[in-house]
Amino acid sequence: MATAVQTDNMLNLKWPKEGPSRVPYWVYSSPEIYKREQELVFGGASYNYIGLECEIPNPGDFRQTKVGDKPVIFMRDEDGQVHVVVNRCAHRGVQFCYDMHGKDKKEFICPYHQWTYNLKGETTAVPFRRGLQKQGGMPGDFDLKANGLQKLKVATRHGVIFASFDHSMPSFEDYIGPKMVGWFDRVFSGRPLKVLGYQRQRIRCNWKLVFENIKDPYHASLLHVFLVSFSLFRADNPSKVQMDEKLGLHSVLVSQRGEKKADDTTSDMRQNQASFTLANPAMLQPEKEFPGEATVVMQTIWPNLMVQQQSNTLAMRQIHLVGPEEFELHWTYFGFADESEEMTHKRLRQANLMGPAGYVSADDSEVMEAIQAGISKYAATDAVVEMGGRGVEDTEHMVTETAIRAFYDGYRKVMGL
Amino acid sequence: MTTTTKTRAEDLAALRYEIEEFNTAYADCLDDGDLNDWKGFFTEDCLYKVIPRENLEQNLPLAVIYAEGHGGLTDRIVGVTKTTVFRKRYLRHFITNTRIRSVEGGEIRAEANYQVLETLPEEYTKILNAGRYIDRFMRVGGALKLKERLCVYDSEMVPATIVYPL
Repeated sequence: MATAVQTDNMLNLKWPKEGPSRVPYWVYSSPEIYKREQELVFGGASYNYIGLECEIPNPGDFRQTKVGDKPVIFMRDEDGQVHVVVNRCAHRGVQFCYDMHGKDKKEFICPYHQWTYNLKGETTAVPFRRGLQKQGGMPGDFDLKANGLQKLKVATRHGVIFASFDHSMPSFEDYIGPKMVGWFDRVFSGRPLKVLGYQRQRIRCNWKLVFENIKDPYHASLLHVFLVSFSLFRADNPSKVQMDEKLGLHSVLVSQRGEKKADDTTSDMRQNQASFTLANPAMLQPEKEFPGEATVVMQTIWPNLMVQQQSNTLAMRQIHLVGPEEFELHWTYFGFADESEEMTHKRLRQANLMGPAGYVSADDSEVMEAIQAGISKYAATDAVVEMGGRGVEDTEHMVTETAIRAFYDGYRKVMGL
Repeated sequence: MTTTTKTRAEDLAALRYEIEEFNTAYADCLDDGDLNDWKGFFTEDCLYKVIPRENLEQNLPLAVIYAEGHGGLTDRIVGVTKTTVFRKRYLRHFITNTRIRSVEGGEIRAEANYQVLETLPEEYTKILNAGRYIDRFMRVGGALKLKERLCVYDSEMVPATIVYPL
């Protein structure tokens, strides 16, 4: 007989019979699920966001990042090609690269036994390979080529780098599907990018809570008083939610700015601040810069990227994993290389909305930790996800959790749950 | 910086003491005082930024908090207290190692190390943020005011949320 409080060991990780309208809390805390995700999600048939090509513009440039919880290096070789390798020496496993970024690199040398790698991740030198004074050395059949760094398959589109541990992956475009390519190209049209800076925060909750947060327009119109007060995001603004054609793991929330007003929509809010005005209005003077009517497009690209376009704030939000109940969010804010100083300044001012101290995002990091605190000890309980019905279809409104249901529908297939 | 005369050294010691008193009052305002008084430590046309060290070192302009003028400082306090959802917390500032970098044309450039501890309900006190203030002071009616304060923090990683100014 079931008890009121069960651990995941007793549950056999069986999805609730209601299907996608329920999310069992064990997906957010189980060490077994976390291990399976490293293998099947981040280590499996997925393209992980790595970085922007403009972060490593020249041969010899490199940066470190993570795929799931695994440190990788992305770098540009002498021919201009981008490579992504695991930061783990092929010999004894040393995390050989200490610098988080650098330039003019010719080769990487592991400090332990000085195994040396070129910018393609190939081993170029193994000290004492032929022995010393006719003693020792590697066996005669030791193959340098077969003992290089572990490489990931790389895909780039319009200046954005993705990589996969699975070398049999189709193209990136096939992976996200035509609908998602369309939204991706809206921001990444091929116009050269420039990085404005980084923000990084560690949040004590499961990583999926942030991924589905961006798939949840229902919360955005209620939790984020700042957004609603300035009508940057309201339940009654023209909006839509769309998923990719295959697994529904990638999605977009699309909306457009409305008039600042108090009415039925805001009356359901706990703390409407329609009367709130800025003492320095320069902080928030959005300028139209993309085709179409949308002023907000938040796109999630499974499994580790959220592309943020809210007014003129553009950022890649990348998920790094720490453990089942902790992750890091790495924000790379960007603009376009040829934009005016004024536009860059707008982006820097509007960045006050986002990040660890953002008027909007701080709500999320606080609430996500509170969710984890609420569910961590109740693995056998389920979340109720029925706003907008129980289906997983695209919608033309925001009063829905359809993208969360679609996400868990796809997640179950990937994870075999 | 170098000093050549005793008088100069005494002036600098007095100025350093004045800046330390300023920072003590600044910390008191943010830790135990009225947040609405915070803007009083700045000139009307001030610039206040909280910025990760990595951005500063790579000449990347992005800040975590970016407030321009008294208006921007007011918006930060009102925005946080009126629109943001967060758990109750206490901050404790420790500001030390004050050093004067230059005194020129009515502008004093100074730096100080800061450490801000944060205490949340049912948790041990933790280091929320540590780094240095890079300051430009002016005198307004004889009193020191910040024309610019950059809070440059060392760790690339911030624990979840920075709610109040540093």
